[in-house]
Amino acid sequence: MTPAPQPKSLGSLVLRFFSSFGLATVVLALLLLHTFLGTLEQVDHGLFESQKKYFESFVVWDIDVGCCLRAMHIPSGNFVMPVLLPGGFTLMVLLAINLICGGIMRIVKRLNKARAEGVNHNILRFTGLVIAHGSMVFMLLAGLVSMYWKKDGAAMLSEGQTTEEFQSFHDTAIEIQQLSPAPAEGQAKVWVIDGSLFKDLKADAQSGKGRTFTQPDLPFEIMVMNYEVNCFPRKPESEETKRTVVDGYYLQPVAESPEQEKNIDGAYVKITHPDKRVETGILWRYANGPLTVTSGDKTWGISLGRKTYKLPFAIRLDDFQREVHPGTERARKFTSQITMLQDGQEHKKIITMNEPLRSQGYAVFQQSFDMSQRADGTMAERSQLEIVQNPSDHWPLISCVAVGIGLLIQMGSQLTRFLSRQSLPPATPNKAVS
Amino acid sequence: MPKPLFQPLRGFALLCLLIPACNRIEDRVEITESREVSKFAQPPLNGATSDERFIPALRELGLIDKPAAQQAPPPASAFREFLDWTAPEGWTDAGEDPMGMRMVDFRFGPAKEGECYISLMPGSAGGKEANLNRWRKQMGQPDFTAEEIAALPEKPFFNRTGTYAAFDGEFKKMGAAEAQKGYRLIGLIHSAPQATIFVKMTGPKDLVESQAAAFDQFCQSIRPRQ
Repeated sequence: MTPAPQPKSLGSLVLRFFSSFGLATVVLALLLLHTFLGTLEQVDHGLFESQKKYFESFVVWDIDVGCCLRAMHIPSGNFVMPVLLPGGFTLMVLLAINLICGGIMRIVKRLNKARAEGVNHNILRFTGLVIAHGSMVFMLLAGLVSMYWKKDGAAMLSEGQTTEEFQSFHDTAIEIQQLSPAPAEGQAKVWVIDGSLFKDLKADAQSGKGRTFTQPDLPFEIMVMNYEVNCFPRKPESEETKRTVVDGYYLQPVAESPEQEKNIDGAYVKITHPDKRVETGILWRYANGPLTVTSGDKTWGISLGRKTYKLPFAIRLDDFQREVHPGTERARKFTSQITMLQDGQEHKKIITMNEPLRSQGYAVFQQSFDMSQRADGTMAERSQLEIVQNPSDHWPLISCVAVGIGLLIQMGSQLTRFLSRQSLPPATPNKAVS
Repeated sequence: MPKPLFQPLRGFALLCLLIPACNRIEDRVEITESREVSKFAQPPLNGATSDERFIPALRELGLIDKPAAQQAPPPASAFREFLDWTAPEGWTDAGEDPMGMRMVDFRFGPAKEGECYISLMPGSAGGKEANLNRWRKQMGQPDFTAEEIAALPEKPFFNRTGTYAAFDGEFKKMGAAEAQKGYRLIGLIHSAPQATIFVKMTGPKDLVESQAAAFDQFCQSIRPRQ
């Protein structure tokens, strides 16, 4: 009589679920689906929004089927299908758990099997398995670190121009800086209000909703209100308008562009001085200068723009070269010859397509160029450099190499065991003694 | 006493209230973030009025009209409608310039290695001197001195006269990887406060010299369409 199977505990059932091949298959299939849908939806919704919806989300709530069909050149109307799918973030967390639990379960199973067979199991046999699983988890961790701690942006330089800053592609900030009397060299400081602290203050959310920002070093308080993602200052056509008009302008909201970089944001600010004097102003990202506020004998500039990050070194563009395919204007190669300036030393470097400059955790890529007109009317080329600071920049490479090593060890060990079994003499059946 | 079923529901409702509260930003926030101002950064405009702050960008975005002097030149197709010219024999029209800089663009020579085109810039476009020296730089030559520019000949052009320049050098076309040796450039510039018009020919020296008369003939043939 065979013994009745032992009832499984809840813990072992959960572990079995999270370590199962079935879960891995479903997660990978959903990630594939997200990649497919995200690629199609970015045609209408832009790369930034698609990434947020499919890869940086906990849950995907809908699929824009109409947009996906149009992206595949199938005529369709507007149809958004409500769904409830785990988002890319959730899937990658699940995959990481699956890889960890799967690795542990495989080791435990083999050890149990060996124990049952009375074989002495060498723990080193699992080295390959542990390295391969660990490296894949490490790769997912690299994605997480990149998502939360990566800073990326661009610096636009004309020949002869130097910079040690770059502007974020997406992050917005309000900056407050003393303009006059000009602070001594090295003393100039900018107070920064991160966009995450005011982007929720949209005009349509709650009329008049605002938030007050204070700083003991500033002689006034600043209230930010009516933030608009995409807008432009406009003069009212008639004297009667419902909008707040400041110095002859109001902010006219316009439809958001799916390409986030194309949106030009703006907001109203209310400045309250210590003597209770109040003044209102408009901040707009493309403004030619900051909103000027005078308090006592000091003048301050308040501006809204892309968040500025500082580099640990300065870059001077010495020469920009653009090569085109013969007989066309199609770009073949962009090259920036730069000088890296740090601690009084100068290093000549070349940045070209696919050959970035890497230094002190920053990677500087050749991104683009544009033509601008100099003050004297002649045309000049400007080089656009993409600058990325990613703590996990090299982790995917390390992870890939480690996965390769892990799989080599694992397969090598399997092959050795297979060959050693083959070389053993075949077992002879026991003969009955008559 | 509430039924046991409602207890988890009440807990869930409380959680729903607490979760948004965790992310809520207070109505008064102290600014704690700051950064140093780079010594390379351009000092911001101090005391700019709203017009000074907004109008340049609004013009650049095409949201308000530009003043006549700053308006972009008409597209090549529009320019062609206003002008007439006679193309010399053997010259072929290269069509519309994708960069929009060349209004009329011709190729000539056995391998069509010679180029001759008309371009138009609004206003003085930096002036005659800056543009002549831009050409000198493209040919790897030092700038003209003021005396050299004053000594350049004038030729009849577009019912007026234009400054004529011709010199040899190593021609580095915009976007080219390397300069081409043994080249010659001949050009004619007429600069006025309203607009500046250029006719420029480049190519291997022998080829350009053989087309010098054709260049003059082409320049003199350019006229407003009747």
